[in-house]
Amino acid sequence: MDQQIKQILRDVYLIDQSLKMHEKTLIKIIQELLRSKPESKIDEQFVRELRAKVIERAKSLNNTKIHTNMFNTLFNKKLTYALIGTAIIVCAALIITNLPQENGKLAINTLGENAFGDLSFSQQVESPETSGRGGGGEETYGAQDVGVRIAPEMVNYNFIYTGDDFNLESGQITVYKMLKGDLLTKVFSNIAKDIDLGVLNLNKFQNMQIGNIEISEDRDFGYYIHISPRQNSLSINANWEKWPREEFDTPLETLTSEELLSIADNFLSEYGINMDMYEKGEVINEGVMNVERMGVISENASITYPLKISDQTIYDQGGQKYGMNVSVSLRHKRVISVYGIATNTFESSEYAKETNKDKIISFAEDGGLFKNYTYPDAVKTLDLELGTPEVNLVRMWLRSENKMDTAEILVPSLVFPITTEISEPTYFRRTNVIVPLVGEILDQYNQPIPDIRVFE
Amino acid sequence: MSDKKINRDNFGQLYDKYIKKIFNFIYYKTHHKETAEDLTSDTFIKALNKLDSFNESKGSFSTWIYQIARNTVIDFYRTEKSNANIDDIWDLSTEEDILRDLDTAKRLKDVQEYLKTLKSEQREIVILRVWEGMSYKEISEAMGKSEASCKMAFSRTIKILKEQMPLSVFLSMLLF
Repeated sequence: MDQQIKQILRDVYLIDQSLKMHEKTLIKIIQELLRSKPESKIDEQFVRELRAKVIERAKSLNNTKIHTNMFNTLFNKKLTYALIGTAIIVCAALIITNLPQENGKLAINTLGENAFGDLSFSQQVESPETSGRGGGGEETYGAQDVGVRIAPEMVNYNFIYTGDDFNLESGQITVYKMLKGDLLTKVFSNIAKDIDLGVLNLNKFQNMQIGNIEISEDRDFGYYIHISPRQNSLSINANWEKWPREEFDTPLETLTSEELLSIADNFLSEYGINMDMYEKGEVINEGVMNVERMGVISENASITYPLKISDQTIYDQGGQKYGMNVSVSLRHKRVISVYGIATNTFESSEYAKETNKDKIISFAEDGGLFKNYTYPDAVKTLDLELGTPEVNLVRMWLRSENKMDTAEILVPSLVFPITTEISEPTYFRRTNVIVPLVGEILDQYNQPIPDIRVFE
Repeated sequence: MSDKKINRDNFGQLYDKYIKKIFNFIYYKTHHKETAEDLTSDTFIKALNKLDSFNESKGSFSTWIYQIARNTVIDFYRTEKSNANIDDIWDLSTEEDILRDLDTAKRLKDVQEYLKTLKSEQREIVILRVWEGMSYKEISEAMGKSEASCKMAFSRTIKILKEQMPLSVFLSMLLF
């Protein structure tokens, strides 16, 4: 047997002795993988050319640094700081004055009917698997292994509507589309054309836009504030250079939901984040709770402050509430990040409402936007009851017809609660099933459901 | 050369140390030589541009540059396909209109559907361990995880493949 295969098998057996019983099969698997290894011969000319480019770039960056230092020396440092400070203030002022918001509150520009075009271009961009809060998958990134694992089972889920009759009057529903920060970028472009930095003349560039602005706090336990004008998004992250190094040998302490919410609430209050558009925080993941379920420890807890617009709660397509997400480090007992801070400005437009109740219930019983895929050889099937739905908004993405650009839209949808409690360990974590109330989106998703492929 | 003293003046040595590893890493995620060259080039230029932000107390240079390479591939496919769920070419169906090297496509014919079912992290560990022959120490540095968790993940992935890979694949090997 090849030495490499022997070594691979030795390592595998150290983790799982039971695999030794299947040694012949494992050898074949590894041999097959080795046989399939693609030829990835790197072109030596490419290596040389890129090396020359990299070295040239390194020199150029070093020279730029020298020029920057000269710039600072030539001009009084205080003056330089004042100029930079003024520039930041101008940028911030532009952000505030050019977005149709009032004191950070929601602003909506109402357009005519069907103003966003055909909504069947909307697409699924997140899944319970990728968001880590939905259907399947194991959480391993950023996690500490403690050796307890639950093997996944092939379980089918059968959704059954058992809720009350609900009212579906015909009429129009309001779809919202998030506005991107084009106004700011255009204004910046006009200002920047007159700026000459000495080492670089900005007026030689055309149609400039601000990509991102990052501001950092220079203090212990400081933060980065990241502003993306084009996306109208703000986020805050720990400036790790200013935080003490984490001692991973120290055992983690659990925090109660109340303690976690208190840490998050205090932080949001301290930093003056406008909470008018959010519901109360909900602890999504207490961190160490994953030990029992997944055999891993998450160092951080997550809290979601669900976003609400026009008194409707926003959900993602997996049926989880969507909003501002706050992560709390269990080691530091401090907030380490805040994402999804809404600087939301929207356009709204009316669309015809889907009123075919049978079609809607059938769509819900197929799993909603996340289809209920089934295993042909499932070890068991669990019946999950769906309760009476409520109308809320679901975050989706609208592709432009050329499929190069996407816009975030909020689509009125029926949120069916899954009322059955699953008592046994499982990866199933959905709590709601989503059915959009716009017919063209329903039709787009309402395709036959394939079985999950099982390899025999 | 130790990765601990990192600066632009010695970036050439870092380039020499990592160029082939990073190219292979990207090639296994793109299956197309020219695309891999472009993204490898992007990776090193980005690393150079961001070198001031590299902080060795947070992780090794190896972890850092592999992460840049990983993100560069993700950005490429997500921009190309306008889909936030795509990490690399394994997440695309073979019918999709995307460039692939014919020889690689042929070689992967028998195993790709089984490797596709793995999560990208599991697939990455298998590729680094089996195709690249990297030690767990090297893999842990490339992935920014502990050696123990890499071993555990590899073992679990082999177990998954054992359950999934059909007898027909093994029998086909008799032809070689």
